Amino acid sequence: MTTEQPEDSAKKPFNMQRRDFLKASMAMALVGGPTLSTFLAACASSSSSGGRGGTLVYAMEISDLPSLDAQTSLSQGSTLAQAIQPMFEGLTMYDRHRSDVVPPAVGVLAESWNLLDGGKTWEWKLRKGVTFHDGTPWNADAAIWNFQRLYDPKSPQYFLLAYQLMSIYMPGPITSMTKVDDLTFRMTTNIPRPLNEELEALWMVSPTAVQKLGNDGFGLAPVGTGGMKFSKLVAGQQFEMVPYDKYWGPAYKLDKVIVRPIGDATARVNALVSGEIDIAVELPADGLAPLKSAGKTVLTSVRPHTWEFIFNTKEAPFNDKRVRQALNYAIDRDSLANNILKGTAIPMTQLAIPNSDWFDDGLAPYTYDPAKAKQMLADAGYANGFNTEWWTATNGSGELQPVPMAEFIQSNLKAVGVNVKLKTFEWTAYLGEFFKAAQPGIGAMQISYGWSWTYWWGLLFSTEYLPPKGPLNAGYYTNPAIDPLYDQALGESDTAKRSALVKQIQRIVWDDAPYLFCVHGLNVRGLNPKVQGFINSKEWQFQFQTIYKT
Amino acid sequence: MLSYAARRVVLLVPVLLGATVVVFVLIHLIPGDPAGALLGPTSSDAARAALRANLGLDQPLPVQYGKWLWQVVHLDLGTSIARRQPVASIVWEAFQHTLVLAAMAAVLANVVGLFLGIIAATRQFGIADRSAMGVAALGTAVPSYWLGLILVVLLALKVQLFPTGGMTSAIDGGSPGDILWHLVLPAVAAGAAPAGIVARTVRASVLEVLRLDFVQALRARGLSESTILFHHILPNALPAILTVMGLQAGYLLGGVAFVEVVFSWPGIGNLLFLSIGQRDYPVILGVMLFVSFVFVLLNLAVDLMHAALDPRVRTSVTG
Repeated sequence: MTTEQPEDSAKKPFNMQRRDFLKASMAMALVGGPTLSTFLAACASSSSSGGRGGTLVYAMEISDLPSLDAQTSLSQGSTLAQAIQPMFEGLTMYDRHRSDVVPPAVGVLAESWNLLDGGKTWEWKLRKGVTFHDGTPWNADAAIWNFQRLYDPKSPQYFLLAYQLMSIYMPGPITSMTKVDDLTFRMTTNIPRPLNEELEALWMVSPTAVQKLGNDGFGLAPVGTGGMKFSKLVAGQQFEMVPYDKYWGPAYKLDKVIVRPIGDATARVNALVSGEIDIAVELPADGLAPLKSAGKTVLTSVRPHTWEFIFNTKEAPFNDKRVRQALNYAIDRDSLANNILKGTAIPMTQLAIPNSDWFDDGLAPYTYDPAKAKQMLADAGYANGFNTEWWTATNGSGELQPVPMAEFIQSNLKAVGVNVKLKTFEWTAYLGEFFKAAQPGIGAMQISYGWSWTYWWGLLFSTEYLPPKGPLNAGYYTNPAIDPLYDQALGESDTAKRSALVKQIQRIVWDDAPYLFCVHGLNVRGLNPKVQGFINSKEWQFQFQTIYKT
Repeated sequence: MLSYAARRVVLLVPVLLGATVVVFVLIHLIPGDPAGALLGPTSSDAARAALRANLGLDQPLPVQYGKWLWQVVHLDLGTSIARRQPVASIVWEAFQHTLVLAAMAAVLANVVGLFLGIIAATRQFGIADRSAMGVAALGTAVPSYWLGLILVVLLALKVQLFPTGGMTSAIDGGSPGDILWHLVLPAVAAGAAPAGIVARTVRASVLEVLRLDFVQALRARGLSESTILFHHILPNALPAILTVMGLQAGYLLGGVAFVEVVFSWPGIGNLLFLSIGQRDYPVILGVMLFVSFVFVLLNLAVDLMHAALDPRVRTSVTG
């Protein structure tokens, strides 16, 4: 199975051509930042077929319907955000109309922005003529109201739970916000930050609707600025969205989107096979064959995801870089990705995924070389191998199939003399253990991450975020060379320069091998063949705007 | 009769209190907490501690339990951590869905059980008896979730007769016919075990009555076999059968849980399963309190019915 399904451009009317992209990029260069409308214009011009209409049923990979408030949605990872995405927009969002690269964050409700004060102040120019679904105008007041809801404890709309849920996606305080004119406002942070990428997951809600319905009531009848508006909720079973006729951008093509929660991956495969749903994501490796034999379309694409074991670098033997590197030479990533996971993952050749800004063409991967691994272990004083205990979850968000994967790795490591005793936990229980970071006597802890922002590199590898302050660096890895690079990257507003700094961090991490680097899990998306205009984005979410049914 | 009922109702209180204490202690013994489940692996200690404080989970367990009990006494089951909706309405909504499934499964189980049991008893040791009891044994032995999966593979995927899950169709669903269509497979999966148990009970009870002298006397009077069976034997065998049917109905309310998970049926079992995964303590407690309450109430109803049908029970308890 190939990891990238070729897209049939005849079937996909929204397939963007390189020429159009170039046009869009040039248009983009003329304004302060890339904006979605320029992309949309280019995309629309490349759209040759005029197909539209249909009711689409999308299965969301959680088992019930939580609050549909965009500002608490990330408590479900990107799962709920994906489902409510047609209703909401942020100042910036990933341009999921592109399938050629990992999508960049582009202006959506912000038309452009200027950086002042050495990057600490962002002046946002808002899009004109945008209204929320309830008629409330989108302007600087609405924008400031939204940010106050999350960041200003003194404002009446401050929503502590939303702040707590979102704060992990946006670290550091907003120190002030000021309105410049009706469509311009300024936001100041304590240090320079790449807000255009950090704010992409923060979507705007209608102040009028929240004030009228209250926070919990808003979760049952959400109001945003997106191309589709909320139309119906069947408690615990489904919610529905229909096109918003005053949408500022190109109209959505579907007549209706119905979202159903189907948490069990096999149940999603079954529902897709039997034709009860049209699109499902996060499909299991074992589901691919039945889907294909039932004539369904299966698309895979890369996304920012890594699956690894984090070595406990506080203790022997994993405080020795040679041991960590040796183990990285001992595992057969190709078999892991293609046999155990049946092509739903690709071997990790570096932390950054292919086609992303951070991917470093010059970085050599760890190959599968048990002989070399054994030699390196011998050099480190472990010629006879050693015993170690590793922990993993049995399930969980982004975890793929942790137990068979861990057992495969266990057998690989046994071949070089390392005997791993595995201990497994149910997901929430495992998180409880993971938060405590690696305990004495525990050699490694498994986890998977979805990385999107520069600030992740700091959370994972900077000295500042060592446990207990930071939750992610469970193996206590540090390298003082990383800290200044990270600080520089965070304050760098030029994307190319920032990527160059991230690549330097990655080179250090890759050589230090604080992880047993394993695989990148892919998006595995199943489609009813009647679904047209689907763009297989290289990101966790896809967009619904161009989709229609025949 | 009235004092018997009153005593049974008063006994409900300690039973329910005991159940909630056990559940409260047990769910707090499971490692992992709602703050971790909500915030995920990327959350900091500080963020989780703040959320725990916001949710009142930083207080000592007895205080938390006391607060919860105080709410319950005021008929408030609290607010769901994961859904941010009142627990009472979430549980009530789910319970209605479970009731639909359990009722359908109970009807199926009782009809099939009665039928198989009567056939087996009236043709004791014949092929019909052996076959009926074989089917009953199979129904009892097969785990409901396994049967559910097999039914999905055969009747929803291979022959696409029924939907693979859910309670309604996504598009234009929700009509009684649509719900009934979605009910078939889960009801069969959930009803198989109780059907088997009912069948065996019916067989045994009917056989027991069949051996009594009055049956011979009725035959001697020339009554038809069907009159004897339906007018004389079954009414006599009914108290024992009813007790088992009532117990099975109670079992079904909890026992459909696995089936609900397999068929994504939005009932109380599915809710409990999800809430445990999310460590949504108020919902777990709400569900357990509610299920215990219904289970105890059902048993009471069966006992009262039993007492109404059989005066000996009444006198033995009240006397």
